Amino acid sequence: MEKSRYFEYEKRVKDAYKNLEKSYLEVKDSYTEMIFRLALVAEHKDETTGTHLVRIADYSTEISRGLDLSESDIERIKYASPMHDIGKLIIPDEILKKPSGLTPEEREVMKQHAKLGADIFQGSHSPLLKAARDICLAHHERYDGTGYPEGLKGDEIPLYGKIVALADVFDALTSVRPYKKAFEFSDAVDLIKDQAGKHFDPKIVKAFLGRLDRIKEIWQATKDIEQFVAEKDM
Amino acid sequence: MKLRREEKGDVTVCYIAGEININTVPDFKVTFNKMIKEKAGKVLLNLEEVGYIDSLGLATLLFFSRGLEDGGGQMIISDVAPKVGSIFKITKVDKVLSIFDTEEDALKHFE
Repeated sequence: MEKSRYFEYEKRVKDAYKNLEKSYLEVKDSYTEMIFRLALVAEHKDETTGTHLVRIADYSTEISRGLDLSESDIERIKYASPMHDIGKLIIPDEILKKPSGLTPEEREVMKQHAKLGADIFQGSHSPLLKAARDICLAHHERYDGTGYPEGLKGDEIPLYGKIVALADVFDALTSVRPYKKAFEFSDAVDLIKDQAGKHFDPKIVKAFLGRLDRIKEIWQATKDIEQFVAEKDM
Repeated sequence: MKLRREEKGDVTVCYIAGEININTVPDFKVTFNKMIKEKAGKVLLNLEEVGYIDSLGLATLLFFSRGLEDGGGQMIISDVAPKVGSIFKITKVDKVLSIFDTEEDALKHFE
């Protein structure tokens, strides 16, 4: 092939690759923007979710680093984990917003949020949305098989689900809820340790404990954010 | 993480690229603390090239804003990408910090 033609073809291939990369990044940014917009909708419905979503993303990211997951896995869980309770959008307000004392029937309705959330992402070919599906479905499963909705046990539970399960429980323990005070950071950590092999996969607990300094930084940072917002509201 | 400073009149514009997260926050804090000590006055953070911000990043911006205010200055933000804007909204940080669509609008605020 003549040199000039070769260079022309080489330039065309490089330009095509650049355009493809640009399109990929635009699509990726759209996906991730969509994720946070959906999370915003859930936040309007259930007022406890605000900084909770950011903590879940940050805790899950740190646990993933503790497990030495790949950068693409870490990125995926960072963006997919805020979706874990998206199914609550479909739960009636009178149950979702009841401060305490759910009846057994109401508890069964509430538990449906796991499967309802997963259904939103069912059938997607996108790795990010598949991750969101797994997280929605599995974040209330327990390592010992006593969780819901499917009673999965041990390694039957998708990894992302196991990570978000721990992040979600830890955040619930350290947050004020209508029915309880926040646990002290160290007491919540002790509770998590105690549940290794029961509620949580021991590997996930080990990864969590290995990143405790950074977990504490995240915990403190969102307390600070909430304080700034509260002061602004006054 | 990259931070480039440019003086536009009496406003210091900081162009930030990358993520503002638990890994990059220590470097930001060095720069921000220096600006607080220098009593930087009017500061605009242009976040057009910022792809993500986490809880540490949000808290760092809030403390930087307060630090400048305590010294008689002000920090505002412009050109926030939709994804990052969603994080500001979810956490209600958009109610605490002054956020403008464009650098031009932000600079007008300081006039």
